[in-house]
Amino acid sequence: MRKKTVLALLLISIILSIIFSNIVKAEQDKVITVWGSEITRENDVMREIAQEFENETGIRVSVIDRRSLFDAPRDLINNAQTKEKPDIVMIQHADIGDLAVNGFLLELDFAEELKSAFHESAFTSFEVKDKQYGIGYSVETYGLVYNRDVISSEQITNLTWDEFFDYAVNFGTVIHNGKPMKAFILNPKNMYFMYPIIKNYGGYYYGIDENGNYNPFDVGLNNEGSKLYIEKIKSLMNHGLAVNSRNGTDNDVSAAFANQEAAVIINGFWQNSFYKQKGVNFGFAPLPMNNDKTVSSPYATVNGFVINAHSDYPDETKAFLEFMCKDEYQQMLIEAGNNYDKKVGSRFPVNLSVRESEYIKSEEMYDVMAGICESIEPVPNIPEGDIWYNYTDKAYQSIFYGDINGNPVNSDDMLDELSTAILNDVKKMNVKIEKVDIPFLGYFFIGCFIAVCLAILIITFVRRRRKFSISANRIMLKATFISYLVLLPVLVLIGIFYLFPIVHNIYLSMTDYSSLNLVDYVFIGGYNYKTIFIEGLSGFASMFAWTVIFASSVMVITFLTGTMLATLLEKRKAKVAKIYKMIFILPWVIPSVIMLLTWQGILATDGGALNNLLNMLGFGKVMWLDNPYLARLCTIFVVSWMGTPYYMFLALGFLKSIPKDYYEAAMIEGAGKIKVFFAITVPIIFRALLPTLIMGFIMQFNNFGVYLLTSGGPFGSTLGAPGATDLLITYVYNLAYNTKNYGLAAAYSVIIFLFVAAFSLITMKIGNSRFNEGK
Amino acid sequence: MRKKKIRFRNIGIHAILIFLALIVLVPFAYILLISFGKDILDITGYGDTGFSIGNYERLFSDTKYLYWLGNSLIISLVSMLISLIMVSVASNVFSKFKFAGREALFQTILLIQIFPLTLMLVSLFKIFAALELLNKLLGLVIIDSVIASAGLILVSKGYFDTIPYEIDEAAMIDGANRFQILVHITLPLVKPILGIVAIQSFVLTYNEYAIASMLITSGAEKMTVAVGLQSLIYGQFQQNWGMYCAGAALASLPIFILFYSFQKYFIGGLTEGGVKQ
Repeated sequence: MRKKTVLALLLISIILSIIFSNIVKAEQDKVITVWGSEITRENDVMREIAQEFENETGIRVSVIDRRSLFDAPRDLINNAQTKEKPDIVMIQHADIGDLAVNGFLLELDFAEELKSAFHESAFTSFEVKDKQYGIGYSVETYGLVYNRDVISSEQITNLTWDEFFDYAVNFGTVIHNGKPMKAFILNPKNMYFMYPIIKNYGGYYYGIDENGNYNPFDVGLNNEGSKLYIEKIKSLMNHGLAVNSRNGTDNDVSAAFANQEAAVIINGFWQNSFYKQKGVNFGFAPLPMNNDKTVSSPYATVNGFVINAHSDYPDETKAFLEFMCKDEYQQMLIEAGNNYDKKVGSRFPVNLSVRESEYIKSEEMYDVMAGICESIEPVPNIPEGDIWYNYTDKAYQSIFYGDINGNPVNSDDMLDELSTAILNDVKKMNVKIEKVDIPFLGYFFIGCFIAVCLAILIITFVRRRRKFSISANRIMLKATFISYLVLLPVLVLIGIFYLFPIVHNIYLSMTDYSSLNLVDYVFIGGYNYKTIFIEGLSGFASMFAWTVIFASSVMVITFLTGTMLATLLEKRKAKVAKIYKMIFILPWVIPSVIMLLTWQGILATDGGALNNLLNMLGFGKVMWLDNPYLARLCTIFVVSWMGTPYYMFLALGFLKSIPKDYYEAAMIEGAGKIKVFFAITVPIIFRALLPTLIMGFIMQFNNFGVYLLTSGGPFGSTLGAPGATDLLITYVYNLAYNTKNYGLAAAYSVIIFLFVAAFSLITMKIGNSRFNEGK
Repeated sequence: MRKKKIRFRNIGIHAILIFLALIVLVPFAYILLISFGKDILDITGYGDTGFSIGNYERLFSDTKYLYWLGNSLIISLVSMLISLIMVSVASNVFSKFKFAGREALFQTILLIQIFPLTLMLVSLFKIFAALELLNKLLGLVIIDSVIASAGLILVSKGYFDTIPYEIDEAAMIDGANRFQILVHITLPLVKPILGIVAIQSFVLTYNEYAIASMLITSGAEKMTVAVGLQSLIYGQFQQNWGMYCAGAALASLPIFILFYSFQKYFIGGLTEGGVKQ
């Protein structure tokens, strides 16, 4: 007894000392944290600059290597007020809208002297609603890439877009290196690359109001200019100057250029190494001019720096940012970002002195691109800025390539639908929802509800106990106490990491938590639920049916195939079985991302491995992932393929627990092997695995991975409607995320959660009662 | 005559097995080919660049691959051990103890896992920030072992149920306490399921991406393999599939080794003779 007390005291003192040592930690020195980019060399240069800064001011700066600039907004929102918070963040300008609106970014004010050292796009791109939030450092954009062996730069400069297209049409097809070659090829579905052409004919994405800010309620994708663009591209398509496959991507455009099947394409520096590898002698040229002889501006992303509004040392941080903006340091950064003399990066400077430096001027390609960067149009950085990603691709696909069955689509109607879809989302994002105050009565009711639940629990508990004698009760009570004591760590952990998020999500589903209200979200009662029931879900019934069919067939296939494989393997010789097991483990252990993408490559309609094989054998193309029914079958197949090994190994384990006499008895009765399998093996393993199988069903119900295989498609011609392989959860998730309405997403998931929970409970009840009957 | 029939059947079974093995092997072989620069199908969009080990070399020279691998191995092994302990204790309690609310508790553990993880991320981050576990491998160890245990309790409880309670009773009469029975009698009998729990929890942790990418924000040295590799293909324009495949192929080696060392649990450990029913 004494030993235990001593031990307990020791434990308590250890815990206390740990807590105290944390509290009494000495006050830390001032350290400014900078989140850099994924380019280590660039970050190393930033560290050198930081060292200089420390030498001058005595303030330490630590630079952190980051995975990608794409993560910056999410991670900044998460970490803004934690101990891990950054002070300066390198970020793409398009991502700052949400951050600025929610007060995550410090408003900046730069001196005229500093401003005059940079191109104006360094500041305009980081401006939201007339306030300055950061400074640009490099631009990523695109121009014309041309094949020097075929075309000289004089032939394509100083042309207008119309003249350029005429030139491309008249070029016809020449034979180059023994292969036919077109002058130009484009991917009309990608609005990012097509934007200067759309703009040339008068279309635009978001209009600009009298203050020079973007007005998201003014969408110009269905005006006369946009219609002219459609006509122009359609005529180019007739001359074979666009990607000819419905599912073609920018990779196909790049491949055409690399294989010298097209002399000019629109692209940035991103695939230069690929062209070099293929031995293309290429160069860059500015985009053709607008038809009114003004310079055509490509869409561009500006990478730059912003300051965390919750920074502990805003003044010092500002000082370091301005320190970093000195011409010499900008030069060092750009050179490191482009990998010094190798010059393989795509960091084009916005600093004027770097632009004029020998480093940029001496390399023609950089010189041309830096020139293009002087007249870019930064993609809109308002929170509504990225809505186009959700619709333009599908809309232009239907317009230029017809709907899923190849039937032509009325382009005017489609353009109207496109801009309506964008406008609807903009409106949804800007809805102002009334805050609902929880009345005192509300808390009272919640309290009553909890009290009633507890009462019911206690009553049932007491009632059950009455059935037993007092001594049995005492044993039961002891067992219960011990059991919960032993389970306590597991239950506490599960409670923290599962129960809290669920409760928190239920709360969020009753707030207006969205990209515009990341911090100041308020309780709005059942508004989100009301929205869901009023709007309903287009195609809900078919999508729901598909989700259930998908989840259950995957479970049936994986379970049966897994058990069958296990029974087959169990009877093989140990050595042979070992080899098979090593093979069958593969889909289980390789990351599913890469497996899904590999399958996508194998099943692709154009150039997929399976179709290539069929082609060699003399069969025609099969639209594996582009026919709604085949796509569904393929999805089930691929997901089952990935899931089977797990159930095979589970079954292998459980096979050993089946007593041998069961089989002997069945054999004596004269049952065949197949009958034994279905009458003994499957039911026994099924019963043992029932919770696991229900769990598996739920996992498949919530399977987000399918998106990597089919992206939910193939889609019908209605924008925003669910595709053939859209699962319920992925669809509603994306639906809510299109408008960045996280509260709505939470509401959807709560409804689905309740539904699936009810389903699982019923299944378990049925399963258990069957099981008990069997006994 | 009978021998012939058996041989014929064996060939049939092998044909099925070999066919299924091919369906598994072909995509994997394809990944290996891409990692060596041979992309015959042009999945990567960069075409076939000829056989080379350049991708592997660049993986080690340009990225912090060894750090990633080390981090992943540490958290996967530790959370494998933790989940083994948690799962075997919890399954034992659920299977052998008759206590009030057992069914309800077991069902609750299943039901709370219905909520999609993707939507729990925001809330999870708040917990980790409050516990000051950001940017720490310990945080990943905790969450991964909880996720693995919560799922695997459901699996292994079923297996524990197949061990007859008579064995426990016999041991109790001999004077063994519950803990001794668990360690010396039950656990050796449930080896096959422990093997699966070990591998599945290892694989879950090893391939976990969403949480790890959210919690680890302070530098490439702290990333796990899943997160690090993803960064190679995580760009709008520059996707380095060759290196990604090389990294994924190399990263699967530890799992093979682990699997190989657990082989005997799948093959051996027969429960026969423990008790005759």
